[in-house]
Amino acid sequence: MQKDNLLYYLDFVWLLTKKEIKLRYKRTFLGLLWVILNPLLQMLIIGLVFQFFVPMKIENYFLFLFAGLLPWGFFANSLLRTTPLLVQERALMQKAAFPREVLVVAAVLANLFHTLVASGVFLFFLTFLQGNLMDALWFFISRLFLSAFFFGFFLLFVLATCLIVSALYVRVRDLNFVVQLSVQLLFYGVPIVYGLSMLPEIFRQILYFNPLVSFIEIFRYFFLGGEFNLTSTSVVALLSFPYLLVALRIFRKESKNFDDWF
Amino acid sequence: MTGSKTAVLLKKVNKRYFLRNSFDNKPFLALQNINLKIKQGEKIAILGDNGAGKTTLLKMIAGIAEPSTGQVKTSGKVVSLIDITAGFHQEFSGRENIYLNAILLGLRPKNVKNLEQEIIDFAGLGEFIDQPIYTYSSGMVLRLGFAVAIHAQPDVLILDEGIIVGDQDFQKKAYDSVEEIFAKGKTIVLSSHMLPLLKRLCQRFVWLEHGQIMMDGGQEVLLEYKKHRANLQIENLPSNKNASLLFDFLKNLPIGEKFVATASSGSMEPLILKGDEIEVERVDFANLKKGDVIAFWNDALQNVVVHRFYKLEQGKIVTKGDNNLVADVGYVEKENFLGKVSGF
Repeated sequence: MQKDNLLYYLDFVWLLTKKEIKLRYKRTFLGLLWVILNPLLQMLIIGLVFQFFVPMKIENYFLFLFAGLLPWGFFANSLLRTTPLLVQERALMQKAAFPREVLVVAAVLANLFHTLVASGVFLFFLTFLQGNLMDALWFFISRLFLSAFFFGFFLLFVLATCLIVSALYVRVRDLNFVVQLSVQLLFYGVPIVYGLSMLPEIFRQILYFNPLVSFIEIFRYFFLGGEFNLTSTSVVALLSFPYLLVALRIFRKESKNFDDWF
Repeated sequence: MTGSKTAVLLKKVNKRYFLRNSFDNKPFLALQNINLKIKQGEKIAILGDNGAGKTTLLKMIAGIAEPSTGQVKTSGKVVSLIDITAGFHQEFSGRENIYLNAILLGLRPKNVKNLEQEIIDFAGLGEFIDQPIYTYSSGMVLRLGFAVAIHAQPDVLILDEGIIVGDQDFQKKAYDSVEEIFAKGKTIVLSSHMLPLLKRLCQRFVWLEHGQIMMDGGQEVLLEYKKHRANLQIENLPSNKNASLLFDFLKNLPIGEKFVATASSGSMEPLILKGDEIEVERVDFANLKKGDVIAFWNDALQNVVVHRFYKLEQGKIVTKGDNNLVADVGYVEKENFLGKVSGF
C-alpha cells in the first residue's frame, strides 16, 4: 500500500509535469526552440545594454551573462508561475482530492526541464570552444556531473520557496504584487549583470545572506571558472534539504485551510 | 450485501466557513455536529435543499475539504464524481485528458492503458478522441468525463447531482452503468434531486437541513422530505373532474414554480418508471433545448405527458418517449406546454 501510494504520487507528478511542458508550447511555431531562444534573446538584450551603453569590464561578457541567466530564470519563472497557481487551479481543488503540493512540484519541474535543456545547449557550446578533443571530453563529462549535482540542490531550494509562497498566497493575495516587484528588484540584487568582485567588501558580505547569490556564483564557476565563496556555498547546500522539509510542513498546514479562502 | 465493516465514519464534524468582507469575518456553519457511520456496501442518499450542506458533506467524505473540528475516517479508495470534467484541459486532446482525469480519480496511467479503448468506446467519441477538447460539444465532454469516471474502480463512490448526462442514448447507457456499480456492492454516497432514482437505488436516506441532520433512516425519510419539499402537490387539489381545468391551473403557474406529479405510464423508461414521482419546473418555452425532458398537455389523452424534446418542426416541438416501443410521437406548442422535468 505504501509503495503503491508512492508510485501513484510519482505518476501524478510526472503526468502533470508533462502537461505543463506540453501546454507551454502548444500551437507555437517554434515550439521547444523557445527554451533556448528565450534566455538567448534575454542575454542579447541585456548584453547590448551593458556592453555598449554602460560598459562592464568583464571578459566574455555574453557568456558571463548567460551563465547567470540560466539559474536565475529557473528561480524567477518558477516563483512567478507558482505564486498564483493554487488560486488559478481552484476549480480543480474544490472538486478532486489529491495532494495539493503536486501542482507546485509539477510547475517547478517543468521549469527545471526548460532550464536543463538550455543548460545542455550551453554546455555543448562551451565544449566546442575547448582546444583539443581530450580537453573537450573532460570538460563535458565533468561539467555534466557538476551541473547535475548543482541542480539537485538548487531544485530543493526553488521548490521550497515556491511551496511556501504559493501556500501563503491563498490567504494573502498581496503576495503576488510583492513577488512580482521582488523578482524585478532581486534581478539586480544577485550577480547576473555584474560580478561580486566589482563590489566593495561590505556589500559582498551582505549579499551572501541571499542564498541565490551563492547558487548563481557556483553555477557560473562550474562553467566559466572565476571565484566563489566556499563557506556560503556549503552552508546554502547543507540547508537546502531542511529548508524543503520546513516548506512542506508549512504547505501541508496551510493546505488544510485552502478551502476556506478560495 | 451490507458488511459489518465501517467504510465512512464522521464524528462530531463541524465545518465553519467565513463570510468575508473588508472589515469583519462572519463565521458561517456549513455543517454542525454531524455524526454519520456508513457501513461497507451501503447505498446512502443525502437529501436536502440547496445550501443545506450536501456538497460540503460530500467534500468532507471525499477528502476535498477538511472539517473545522471533528473527525472524518474512510477506508479503501474513495472516488468522488462531484464534477466529472474537473480535470479536463481545453487545449489537450480527448486521449490526453483521459489520463489527466484518471489520475485525479486515483487511476495510474499504466492501468488506464488497458482501459483506454474501452473508455473511448463508451464515450462514443471515435476519431474525435485525438482532437483538442475545445472542439468538442458540451455533450461530448460530459460523455468523456463520465466514461473515465465509471472506470475508476472505487471502494467508496461519491456521486453528486447531474451525474447522468448526455443525450438520450447516452443517458440510458450512463444509467445502466450506474446501476451496474450499485449492483457490485460498493459503498455509495449520493446526492441528487432525482428523487425517483434515489428511491430505487438507495436503502438509507439522510436529510440535511441548515447543516444538521434532520432525519436518518429508510424510505420514510424520503417521504418526509418530499412532503417538506413539494410546494404544491397534485393530490391536494380537488379531484379533477375536469382535467383540463387542472391543466389551466398548472399552466398559469409563474415561471420558476415547481410541481410534483406521478408517472402513470412507462413511456420514459428506464429513467422514469411507472409510479415514480417527477418534479416539473415551469420554464420559458423559448428556452427549451433538444434533449430536454418536458411535460405537456395531451388533448386526446386528457392528461399530462412527459416526453423528450426530439426535434423542432415548423415552430412545434416533436417529442418522443425514451421507450419507443410504447410511446407515440407528441407535438408541443406554447399553448400546451407545461414545464421541464428537473434532474435530466
